Amino acid sequence: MSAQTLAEKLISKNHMGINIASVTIGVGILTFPRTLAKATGAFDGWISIVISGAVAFLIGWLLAKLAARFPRQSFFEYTSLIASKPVGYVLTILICIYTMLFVSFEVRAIGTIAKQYLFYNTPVEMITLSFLLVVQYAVAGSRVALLRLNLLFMPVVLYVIVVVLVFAQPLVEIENVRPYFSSSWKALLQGSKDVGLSYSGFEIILFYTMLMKRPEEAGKSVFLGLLIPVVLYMTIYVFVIAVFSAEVAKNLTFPTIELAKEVEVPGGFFERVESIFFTIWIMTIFNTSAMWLDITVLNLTSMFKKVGKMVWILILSPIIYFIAMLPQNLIDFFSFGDKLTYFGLIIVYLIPICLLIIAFFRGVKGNG
Amino acid sequence: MGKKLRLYVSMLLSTILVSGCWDQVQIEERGFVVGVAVDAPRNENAEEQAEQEAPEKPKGKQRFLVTNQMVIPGGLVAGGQSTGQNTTNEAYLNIVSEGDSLFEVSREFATRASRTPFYQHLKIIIFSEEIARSKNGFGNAIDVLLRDPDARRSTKVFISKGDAKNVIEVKPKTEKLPSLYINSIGENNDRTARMLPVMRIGDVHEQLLNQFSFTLPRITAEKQEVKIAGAALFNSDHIMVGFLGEEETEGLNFLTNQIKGGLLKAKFKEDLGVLSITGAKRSIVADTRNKEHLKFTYQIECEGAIMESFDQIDLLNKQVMEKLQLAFANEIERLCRDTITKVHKQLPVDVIGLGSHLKQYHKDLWKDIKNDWEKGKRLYGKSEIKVVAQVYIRNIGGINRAELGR
Repeated sequence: MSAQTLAEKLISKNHMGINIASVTIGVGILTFPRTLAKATGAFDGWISIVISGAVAFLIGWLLAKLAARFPRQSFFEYTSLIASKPVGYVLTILICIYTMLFVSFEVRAIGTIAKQYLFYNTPVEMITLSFLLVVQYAVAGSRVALLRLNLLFMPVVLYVIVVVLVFAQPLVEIENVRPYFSSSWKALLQGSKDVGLSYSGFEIILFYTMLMKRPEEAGKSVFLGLLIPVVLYMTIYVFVIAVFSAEVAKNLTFPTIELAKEVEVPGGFFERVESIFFTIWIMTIFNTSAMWLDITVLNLTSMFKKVGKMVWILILSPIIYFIAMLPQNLIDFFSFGDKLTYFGLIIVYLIPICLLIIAFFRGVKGNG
Repeated sequence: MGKKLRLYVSMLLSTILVSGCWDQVQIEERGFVVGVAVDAPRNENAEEQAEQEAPEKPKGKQRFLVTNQMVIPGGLVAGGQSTGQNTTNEAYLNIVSEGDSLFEVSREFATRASRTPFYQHLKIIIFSEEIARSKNGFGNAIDVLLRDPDARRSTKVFISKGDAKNVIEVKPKTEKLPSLYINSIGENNDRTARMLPVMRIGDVHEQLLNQFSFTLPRITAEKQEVKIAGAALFNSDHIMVGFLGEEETEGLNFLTNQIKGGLLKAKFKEDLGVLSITGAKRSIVADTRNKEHLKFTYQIECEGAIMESFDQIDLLNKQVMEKLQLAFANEIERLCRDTITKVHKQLPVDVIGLGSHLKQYHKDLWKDIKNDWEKGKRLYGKSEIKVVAQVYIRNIGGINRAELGR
């Protein structure tokens, strides 16, 4: 037995992979079959999922390389080392804005979707607020405990999704998936771009590598962390198309929810599986938003060492809540998500990769 | 002091946050709707009245007469004391209203029923022939039933010959609720080939978004029972164009690979032989050399067991058996030919899955002729269809002959 307490333990590479998967699986899982079916118009969308998964892995691997170069150093510290302190400040603040907006997006998703399917009379404001309070509470505690929660939830989430899919199997109509390979390359690439939005989340490797036992294994964590969503998305897409056909999938607001609603467990006792599905989906969103909020706080405290964690949480929460309430309808909400991912594309993918190149040529390395 | 303040604040917060529940509805206040029937109104009184009240209000193209069948839980208990005014001990209540939007009608019930309609347990929806034949009726009527987050995509859909209201108002002897009675009948397609497999509203949505023609099961009302047999034909514009009779539906099921059970009758020598179908498989071979004159061959394989043999023949004789198989195969071909005559020549609607076959297996050709299939050049009507059937009799039952030859 080691003398370390739970909170002091560093995380292993597999645990890190689960963390990445937990953050990645979020709102996108409900909507991506629609956008993908719209782009590819056929069953071939699964190819797009693999393509964009591979691209995401490539980017993630580069990000992991960057973070592993500076073990035990925070994002702010190593960006300052590579490209001077002012750049470090600006970039870290931009990233804080990005991750904070992500929390807003996730909590609003809970509000909107829970209102549509579960609470018809409860105001969105109230649903969102209570959810945000729970997230806040989670982040206020120990960081490793929060990460461990991912480890606890992920098997439950995967298990329930598998159960839903197994019971959806009698509804599969094979004529819905044929013909194979009918989409053009252009359509597939368009689909890859659309589904790529559902992969954002693996960038947490930039910030959490410093908590890993062996930071040089961060690349492997990214692989595991993306493998789970790729396989999950592919299975869900295959089932959505096989059950609904591409034409219907294009016209469902949340195809994955509809799939869960379509399923009926024989016997009448558990006739309605969607309630369990909603439970686990809220669990994944909880993980995702808690992690994003934690990263925001992590980055802020690494810049401003004098201000405590609780203070940041209390400052951020009202801002997050306010921004979450800004989208007026579903269209606003979806475009908020899209814009956010494009913003992220630049600041958490492109710029860090540039930093890696600079670090490589200048020979800057951490003191690990 | 600080500790006390914290305690008070948390007590205050928990009373506010924990106690409230906006969405609680007592189960006694829910009116579980199990069946919906949609008709076209018989007279225009209500419309004229509405017209007088508000001449400028927006109007839909089709008015609907909607019947909701609500469960009265008290009536479900066998021999239980009847609650309230329910003296007849009926387990359901039919509420009828009309309007040009289904949602409007369902909200209109709130003015008359103490329990608010709750659609999550909706089992069946019946559309009348008239609605199905109207230009916008069917698609419009189905919209809210798909869009409502409460609604489930597994509700079964039927088309009634005559008024849908009469169907949902039958008084079955075996079940307390007419809707559940119809729901169970709909699942009997493993017993008879004259019934289409159930069409869930999700499937209907799929058909409405596709460019193909489709069929829905037909339902007819008698006094104390309903009959689900036959099929309603919809063209690619989603307007009903006609019905298929019971035998034609049998042929259709063979052609669309939807046989789950049923029987075949064939005349052999002098009297009938009856085969219980245990399984059937269909495959299509398409000759696509000439685009203007496509040729299709349906190959149908069917297996079954002899259930009745009136002719005193030796069923254990190989040659007799082969001839008998041929007789049954001819019967399948006849059934299919009758169906094809109707859906290919008389009303050209591609409900036999040819367009879907081309789309699945000849995707390049399909891209080319997609718009000329049922419309445009009408290549479907110009194509040629052949049926070849093969029957395997696997079993003859417990006896060979019931009596010796006369």
